[in-house]
Amino acid sequence: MQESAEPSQERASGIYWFLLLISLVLLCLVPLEVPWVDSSRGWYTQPMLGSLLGLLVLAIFSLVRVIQSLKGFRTTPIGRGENIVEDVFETLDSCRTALVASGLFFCYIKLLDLFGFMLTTLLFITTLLWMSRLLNRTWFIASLFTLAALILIFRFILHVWLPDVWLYSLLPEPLSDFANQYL
Amino acid sequence: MDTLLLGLNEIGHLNVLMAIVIGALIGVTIGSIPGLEPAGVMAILLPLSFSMDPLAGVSLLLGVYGGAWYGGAIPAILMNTPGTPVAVLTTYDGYPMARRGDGKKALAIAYTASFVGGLISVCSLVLLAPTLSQVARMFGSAEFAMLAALGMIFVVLAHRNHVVEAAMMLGLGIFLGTIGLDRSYSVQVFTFDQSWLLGGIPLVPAVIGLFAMSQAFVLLSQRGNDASKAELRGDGMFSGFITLLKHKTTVIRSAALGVVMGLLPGVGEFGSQFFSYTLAQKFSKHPEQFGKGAPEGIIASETSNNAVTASVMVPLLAFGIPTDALMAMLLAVFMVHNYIPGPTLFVERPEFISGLYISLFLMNIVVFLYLTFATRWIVNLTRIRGRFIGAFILVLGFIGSYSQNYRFSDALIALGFAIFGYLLRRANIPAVPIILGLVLGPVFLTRFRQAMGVASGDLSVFLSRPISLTLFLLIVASLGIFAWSALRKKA
Repeated sequence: MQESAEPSQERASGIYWFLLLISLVLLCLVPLEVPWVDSSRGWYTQPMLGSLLGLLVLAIFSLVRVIQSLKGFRTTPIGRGENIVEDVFETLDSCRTALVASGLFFCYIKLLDLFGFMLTTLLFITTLLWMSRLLNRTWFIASLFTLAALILIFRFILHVWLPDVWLYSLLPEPLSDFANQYL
Repeated sequence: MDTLLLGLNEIGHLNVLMAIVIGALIGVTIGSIPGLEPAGVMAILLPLSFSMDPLAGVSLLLGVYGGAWYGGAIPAILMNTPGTPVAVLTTYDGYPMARRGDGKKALAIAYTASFVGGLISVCSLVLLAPTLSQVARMFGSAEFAMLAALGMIFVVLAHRNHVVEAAMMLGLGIFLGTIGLDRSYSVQVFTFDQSWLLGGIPLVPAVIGLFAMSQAFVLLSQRGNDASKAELRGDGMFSGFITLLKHKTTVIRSAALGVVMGLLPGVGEFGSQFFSYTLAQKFSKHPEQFGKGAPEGIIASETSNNAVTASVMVPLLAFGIPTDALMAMLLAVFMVHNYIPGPTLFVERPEFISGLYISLFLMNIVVFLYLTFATRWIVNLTRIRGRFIGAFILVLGFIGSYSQNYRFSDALIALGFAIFGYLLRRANIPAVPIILGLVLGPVFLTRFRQAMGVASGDLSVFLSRPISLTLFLLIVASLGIFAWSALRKKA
């Protein structure tokens, strides 16, 4: 069962507005971000050609959908006169797991330098399982085994390199080297 | 014969054989777990394949790709839940067969149909790719530009009910493909003075974010008991070939449709299975049994979707034009090893091409044998909870996006694409055109500029050459047909 039962059409109109806005802003930024190059080699060599093509396609087709969504404006929460702020929060709430998981993933990347791959991954996985109400003995043990397999494959066999870790610097040197290399 | 021996020599290396077997096993595993798509796992394995020999890397990804389509039949038949999206039609007849106690028989039919479809597809690749690569010798920049444009337009039109959304995403992909340092004038394009954007948007984190990590968010959002134990009942695990012989015409027609659809950009497995299922029902002596457990229904669905797996590589090998996101990933492996797909690849690397053909044959055999003898254990994979898989996909997504360049910023780019991909999934907007825009956009622009440069800026260069003109007319015709059918639908 998914978090939200909101119809996809209603959900989608927001993304069309967002894409239209982004494409228009980027189109306005073209002269600043892709300068015109004085050259005798022809208009088709101008660096802005590709960006303009892509952004115009994006803008035109998102405009089509925005216009279509405006036709059904009365049926949208805003058209029905509902509280917009409440609606925004409802939308955010409907994808809270993804938002929280994204935040945790960001923290996971930042913490790798501090606690190392093994501990950070264990912390990250445990938090995700707890958040999604799956943290019990069975799945925790399964997580430990899966993590061990990941370390074996990626750190021992494939030697995926990670920067030195602050926590391991507290260990005696031979142990610290081993931990930095494999854990 | 010499080329074949060279190919056998290439395949004989332990790392290639291991890649075939491991890829196939991973593929079957992914396919048999509902909700886990091969594109995501292929994306995660992409950086790993870069560090392998070219043939081993390609074989690993192809093993995952091919194996997943086979494995998708297990939950489709036993649980009425397609393991991969292309196994949807297998549920129509597979599940009713399983319910009446013929689960093993239904699986045997699905495996054998997939196996036959897969082998026919490899044969088509062996025959068509070299022939078309000879045609590609006549291609200049104008033709390649038109072909890339045709590929992009086909991919958009293939999203029948989401054409506007697909066009939107293609535009976004084309734009993203231009970010970075412009090669002609060395000027920065939409980098916002960020040094990490100078090299452009990296393909691997984009693919991992859009396909793997966004899927992880979906899996993590599930509530309640999201897994159930599939039960394997009945007998007849080896009866598949006998059933297929009884329905030879359906097998041949479905395989032929699969091969042809595989050649068309964007159409792929979905289009082929729907066409072949409809035709199988139309020409069946017992059309009323379709949807109630007709073996012919399983044959049509499974043969056609597996017949696509190798033929979809024909445009990639012959012209260097990927026709879907998975082929775009394969192209990335080719490019990393400086293997440029097209006519020269057949001349310069015949051993690689032969090795590729043999590896595809072997992959089908490995998967078929593995499924035939190990299904009773594989069904247990359906017990794994989606949320558990989702959590580990995020970790694998980090490893996959980080390990190519050892840059944490790549993992953050993947996270950005994951959030965007999740929003797209919720809004039912296809993400595949973004990747094709990212890959084909620069191909189109480079070739367009070259052709225009040769013609001193005269646009008629695209209409004055016969092949280019043909491709242009194909674009016009496909757009015309689409517009006509849309207007007719409205009326």
